[in-house]
Amino acid sequence: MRPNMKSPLLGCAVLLSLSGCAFEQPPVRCIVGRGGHAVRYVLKEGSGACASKKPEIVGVQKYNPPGAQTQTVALQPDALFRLVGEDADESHSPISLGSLREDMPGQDGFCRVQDVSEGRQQVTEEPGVDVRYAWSDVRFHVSAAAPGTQWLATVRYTEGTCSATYEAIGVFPAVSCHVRNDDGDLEYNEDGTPKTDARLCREPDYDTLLALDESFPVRCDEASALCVLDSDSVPAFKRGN
Amino acid sequence: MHNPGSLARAHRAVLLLVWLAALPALAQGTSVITGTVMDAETKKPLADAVVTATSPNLQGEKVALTDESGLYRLPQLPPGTYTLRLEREGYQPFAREDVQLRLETTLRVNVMLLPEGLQSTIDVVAQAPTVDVGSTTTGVNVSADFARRIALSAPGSKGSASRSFESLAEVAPGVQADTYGMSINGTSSPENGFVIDGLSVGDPAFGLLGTQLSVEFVQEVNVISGGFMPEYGRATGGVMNVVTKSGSNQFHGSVFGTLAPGGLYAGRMSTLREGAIGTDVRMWNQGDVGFELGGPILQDKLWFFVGAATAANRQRLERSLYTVDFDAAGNETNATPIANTRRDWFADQRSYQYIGKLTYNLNADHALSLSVMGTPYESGGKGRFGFDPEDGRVETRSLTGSFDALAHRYTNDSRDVALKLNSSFLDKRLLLDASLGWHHQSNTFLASDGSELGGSTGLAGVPRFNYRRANPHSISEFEALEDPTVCDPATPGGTTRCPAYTYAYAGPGRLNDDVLDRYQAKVVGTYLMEALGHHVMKAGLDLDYVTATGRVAFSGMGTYREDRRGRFWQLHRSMGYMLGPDEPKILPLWNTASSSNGIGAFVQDSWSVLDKVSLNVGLRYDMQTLYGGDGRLAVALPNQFSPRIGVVYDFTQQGRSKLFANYARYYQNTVMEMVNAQFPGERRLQSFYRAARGTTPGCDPLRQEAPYAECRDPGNLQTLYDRGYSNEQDPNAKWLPIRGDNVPVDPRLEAQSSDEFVVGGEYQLFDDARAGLTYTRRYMNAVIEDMSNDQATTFFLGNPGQGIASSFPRAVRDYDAVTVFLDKRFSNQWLGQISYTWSSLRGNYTGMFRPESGQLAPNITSDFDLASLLQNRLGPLPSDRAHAIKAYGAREFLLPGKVLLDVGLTYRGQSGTPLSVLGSHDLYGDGQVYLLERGAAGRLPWVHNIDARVGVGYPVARGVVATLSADVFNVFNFQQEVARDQNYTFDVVDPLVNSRDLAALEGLDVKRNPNYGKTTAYQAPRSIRVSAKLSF
Repeated sequence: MRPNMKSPLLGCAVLLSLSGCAFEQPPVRCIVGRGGHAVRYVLKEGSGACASKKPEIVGVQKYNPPGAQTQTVALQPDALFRLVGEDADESHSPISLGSLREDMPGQDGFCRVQDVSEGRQQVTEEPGVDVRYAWSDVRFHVSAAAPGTQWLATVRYTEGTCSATYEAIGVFPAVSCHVRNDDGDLEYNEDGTPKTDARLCREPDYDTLLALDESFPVRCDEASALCVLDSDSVPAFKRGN
Repeated sequence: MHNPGSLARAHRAVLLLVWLAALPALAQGTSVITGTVMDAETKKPLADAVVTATSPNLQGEKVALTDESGLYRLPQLPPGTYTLRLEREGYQPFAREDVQLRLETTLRVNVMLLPEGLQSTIDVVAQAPTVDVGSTTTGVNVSADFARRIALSAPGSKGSASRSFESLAEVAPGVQADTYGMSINGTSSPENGFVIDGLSVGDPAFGLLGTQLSVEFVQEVNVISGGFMPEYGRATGGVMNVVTKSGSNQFHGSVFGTLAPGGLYAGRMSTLREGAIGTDVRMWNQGDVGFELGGPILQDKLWFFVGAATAANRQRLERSLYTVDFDAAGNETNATPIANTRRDWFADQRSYQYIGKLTYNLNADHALSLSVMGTPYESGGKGRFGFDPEDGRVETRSLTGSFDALAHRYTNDSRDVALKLNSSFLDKRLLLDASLGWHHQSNTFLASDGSELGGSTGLAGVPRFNYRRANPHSISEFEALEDPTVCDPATPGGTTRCPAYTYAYAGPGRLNDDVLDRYQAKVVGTYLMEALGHHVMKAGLDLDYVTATGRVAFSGMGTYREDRRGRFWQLHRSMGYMLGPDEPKILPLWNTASSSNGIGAFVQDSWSVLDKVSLNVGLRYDMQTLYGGDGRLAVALPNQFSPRIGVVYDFTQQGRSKLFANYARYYQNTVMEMVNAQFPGERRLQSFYRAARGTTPGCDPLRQEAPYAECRDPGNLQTLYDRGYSNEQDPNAKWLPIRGDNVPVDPRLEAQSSDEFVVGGEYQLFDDARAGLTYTRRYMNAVIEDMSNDQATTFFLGNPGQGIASSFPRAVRDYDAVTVFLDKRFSNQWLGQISYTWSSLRGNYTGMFRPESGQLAPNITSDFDLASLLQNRLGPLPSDRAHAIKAYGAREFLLPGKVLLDVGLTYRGQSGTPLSVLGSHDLYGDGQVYLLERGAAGRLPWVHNIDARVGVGYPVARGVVATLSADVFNVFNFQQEVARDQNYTFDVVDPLVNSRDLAALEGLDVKRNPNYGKTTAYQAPRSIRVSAKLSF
């Protein structure tokens, strides 16, 4: 403040120059939901053990320190997070980092993330597992109505020697539809699958208290007990919204 | 100003400058005298009659000639008392004295001239007119005559120490005080416009009054509560238009002083006990001294006016500790003071005022004025508490913490400079008024030791810790007691008997300073023409450019709050951002910068149709463009078209009556605070540190010392997931970033506006007295608020009920009011003003702040954050009062020995405000859930207030009068309840939607707040202010 106390004369000059009067709202800049996203995978190519991937939570963050040239987006899928601490190779990271190509969404309303690094965790101890996520074409829809809360990506998922390619469909925030009893404990069906209730998708998440936009079409995925976007295209809004 | 000494020096320098340069002012005005001149015998209009107006407030005289219809018009007159002389060849001269012309009014003075030689058998006495026949504006003019006879600005109220003009607004029907100023016709105080000598002096950050000028320097205040003409814009509340005093051809001046002694304040200002800590706030002393002087530098050519004053306000905070007993349910039953624990503190504020004004008459057609004024203040500081500049109260009324954590130092420097030019051309048919202005404010809010904001030394370098464990700490943990065993629980393992439910410890927390500047330019042209009657056409352009820069810091780079179960300390507030996954960058302070361009233009025509009916038609256009901290566009608010149309009919055609109707649309200016908070707003980080327990290492402020390294040791960090703040897959496991991106704006966002209809009539009952009736209706169009569709996960800015916020209810604020009034201005040694207003204020939108919590957040209150918060919110709003009566009367008595005795009396009575039943919301906390429909719990009782003023004036020398007076507020010390605890429970609970059934509350499975329904505030007790003045 102090430092440059503008003189009235300068103010008047600026006033009279009248630069910058706008008739339209600023475009929404690229933002993403910060935290856990519920991601559903649609198989595009591949078969075998890794071709039946269930929905999972992918942790997402965006980093835009002041003055940074580009903004960074980080993705951490649940399958890699579960292995954190077991991979001795420091060159492997469970978190994939990419950069936002532009500051503003493109004509199609998407903010694209490029040069996304591979996410990998390799456990050498028996029985051993090597899980890799190669993300591409990561694109967040960004508008005032859905500010980085619905997105699409292509992911090449590798587990050992088996690979499959999926279209990932994400929605923020991750809300669980896993039923809990009065004590807050998770309930399961007799076959061991989670007991779910689609109505929980319209309530704040038990853990994070975050809730989904009511205009988003979501469904409860019974296998993962996550509320996932009920649409293969993005952005998706319920009719009437 | 960071350095307090430099502030004081700056003030002295400015004062000196004012003295040396004897600054500018304004003498030309905006009031009009018009009328027709006729032959008393033939009743035919007389052309070419010379009408001359003179007044002590006028430089020279104003002259007009009547036209063929006998009409004359004297525009651009300053308010004052006028003498009209009429002369025409072949007729006897005529003079009409004592025409009291108020600010921005049009008076009609019709005159009949007697032909020379004719005997005066015809009655030609013109009555002194009082009805403003030119406008549809509602409100009151408060003149110096009124202000010096009526007790105003009760000690302890906002601005009362320096006797700011703002309190005068309360005289107008439909106006009542709210937390931050005056609520006009159901709106909130930050929606008002404030104009001093043509310059806008609203606080650019919050919209409150930015220049609290003393009434001693004010000639007249026009409180415009409705029906404003297009030249006023950017306010959905009312407008307070102030004209400061000017010099004249005679020297006039005064020396004045007032004192409101604490000893005559019949009670405490507040009494609060929270657990073991009880705090009483008492008025200690309040008063001001100053002088004013005006006169000619060159007779009829150059006048000056200067004034300066200083005011002090001191209150005492008395703190005692108590032991508390509990019943089986855990509710407090009684409290007993602990011996020798009383400790007193003072809260101090000093404020200064200066004004200098020069008025220069270049010639009969051009006048120039320059005015400079300032109202700086400082409060708090070492060993002192300060006053909250926004509501005028002591900064804390409950000393639940250590002095260093609770006390602050405040400074403010506000200045205004206005340059005005009034010109007339074409034989006064074309008028041009141009002005340039600068309003400046710099505010600081620092640690009480004044240490550098964002620095690492002094209290600014010490973090703040907020203790708030559900099983409360004992006060003996924080403060040494002679016998700490008095706090031992009644049963082993039970609750301490000295509970400190909350305790602010160590550093002072959030600190900030900011600088606000508004540069404005305005030009208004007026053209007088004739076409089917007389037209006064006006067109104007005004521009303003506002900049707001500021710095915000949390002392010691963080404010921590204790877990309700005491397991961890949350670094709840700290400035910073993330560089990458779990790579935080903590900042000592955050810089904000924002700006706004405003352009306004209007055209209007006041058409006196065939000189029978006045038609005021106009259109105003405004646009505002706001820029955020990154210099980029934040919000565009273009295309604000405000039509204004009014019709006035004087059925007497003698200036003694009017019937009028008016429709107007008003747009609201958007203040910088919204931009600073959302575009992108402070970037903050949160994290969680384990609390030390037993041998487990961790954060324990009471046993550790500054800089509290254990409370920022990465080894003590806990994960967000463990604390329920994010999912475990979040790439930031331990750090939660808050904000960092501009909030999205609905592409179809509309500027905030309201519509108003006013109809009414006035009639002059007898000399100087008029009676009237008005009906006002106001409602909101679009409202701007921040909202979230996903439980406060992401926010956007929009219009509730429209565009992308169509799933939200519309913001509603419907105001209907009927006022009847009788106004007898001061003449024949008395004045009287009585009004009764019936009103209804219903909706779900209160305005620019939340009266329930005091949250002052224009356009970003929490009210519309979630659709779920809005259940049951439609109903009578917190400032809804069905009935309000205001009566003011004053009488002057001439006693032997030329002693003047003035007696003034005030009665104000108003019915009570509505009460609701509130619960807690899981995200938004206490008081945010309306368990039943708004207003379901009935209303508070009526509040009556009687104030009196007695003044004695004595001529001590020729032309010098000494006046002694006393204002007594709340003469009978009525102690009516004015606020009640509406929190039914502090449990998180779902509302009973669309229910008004109080009995249904019993069915809720919640713990009832034992204080629900209890009184939380009473009417301000009796207080007395004594004043002395020497004037010449």
